[in-house]
Amino acid sequence: MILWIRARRVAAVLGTGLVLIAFAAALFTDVSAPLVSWTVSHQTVPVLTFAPLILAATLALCLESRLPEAELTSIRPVPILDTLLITTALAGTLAITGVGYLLTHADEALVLARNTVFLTGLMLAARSFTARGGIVVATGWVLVVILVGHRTPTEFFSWAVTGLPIGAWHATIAAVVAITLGVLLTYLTARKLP
Amino acid sequence: MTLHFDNISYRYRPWRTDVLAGFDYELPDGLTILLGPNGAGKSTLLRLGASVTYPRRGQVNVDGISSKTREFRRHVSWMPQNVTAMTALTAREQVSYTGWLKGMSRSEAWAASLDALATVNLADQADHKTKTLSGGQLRRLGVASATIHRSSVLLLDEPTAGMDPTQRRTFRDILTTIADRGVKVLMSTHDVADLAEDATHVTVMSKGQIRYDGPTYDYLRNAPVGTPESRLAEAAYTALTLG
Repeated sequence: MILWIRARRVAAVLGTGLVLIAFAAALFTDVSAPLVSWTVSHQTVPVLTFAPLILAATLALCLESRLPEAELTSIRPVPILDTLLITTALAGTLAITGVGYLLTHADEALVLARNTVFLTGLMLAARSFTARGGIVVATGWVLVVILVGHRTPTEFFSWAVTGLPIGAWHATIAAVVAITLGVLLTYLTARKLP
Repeated sequence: MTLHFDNISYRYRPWRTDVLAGFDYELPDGLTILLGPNGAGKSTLLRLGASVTYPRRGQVNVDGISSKTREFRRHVSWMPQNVTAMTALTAREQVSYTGWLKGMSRSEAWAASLDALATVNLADQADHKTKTLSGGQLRRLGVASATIHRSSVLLLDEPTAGMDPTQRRTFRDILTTIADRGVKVLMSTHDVADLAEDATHVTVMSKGQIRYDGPTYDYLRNAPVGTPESRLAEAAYTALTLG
């Protein structure tokens, strides 16, 4: 098990990712930056919009750090271990954002948690079709929402899941669906040759 | 223990034609060289033999143990053409990791990894990161990884591609040492130069069919009469695959 943890670079990469998310949640709650939008003339984007990509990217790096020739013919249940890794990473993020919410009562912490679940699911689903495409799709989603996701300067279209407030239940459902699909596809395509 | 392919058929996509159809093969003792042109079905055969994929019909087994079982994977090792270097790991850690994946305990794998590296003349690189290894060293690391758990069968997919003649010689010597320990080795190649005196058997495939399967000395008899001795292997290959 320790060798698998070393092989997946869990401590070095994923550990760093979780620490960075904790820092981002602590430092950038309520911080926004003006960014270009194609659908409204002026917008400011919360910096935490980008924070879920830290987990998605580090998790993608960990899952790519593999030895296909040995893992495809392994006796050990590698796909189950990978599912465990994804679950642990998400649990870590939810714990960090949960603590953040308890301390600040800021909805941004909950939005960060939901968006991390959604974008990680999107990354995992895309990654099962094209390995390096996973993080590109997740990043692309964030940029598309920034560029064309606004209906008005303060309101997002209903498809722009990562821009919606925590009260938008369909966004939470979308996040649950995305992560379920992502984990399922990761498990089912684990035996695919790179 | 040996590897059997019993009446297997395989295709990559349901709408494609079979790459292998009604194919039977039994891996003989010693070092066997698997020759054949591109598209002959060599890599497919090795992947089926390694349980990377499964046949559409028929069965791959080791003395009756199906390739769909975990037990089968204890007995068969596979090394693809491109060996992965896990940049975060040392050579010894990568070999140990493979041993662990093959069912060894961590301490067993760690202890056995030095022997495996010594067999492929890489003991001096044990504590170096795999990203520092050359292409030839990486192939030898692949063999060390594939043999750490003492499997009965070793399958290698074009391991000598891109090697210079000296590296090829060293590599074949390593495979001969492994075969002398009782491991049945099947190595695919495009190059008849790999067919040195140390290969006990030759199997020639073309278009998903076996054109020849037998001892090396008999294989050379397929060359047309009058072929110079230095070109016998190549002439026999041409006669079998084009004839």
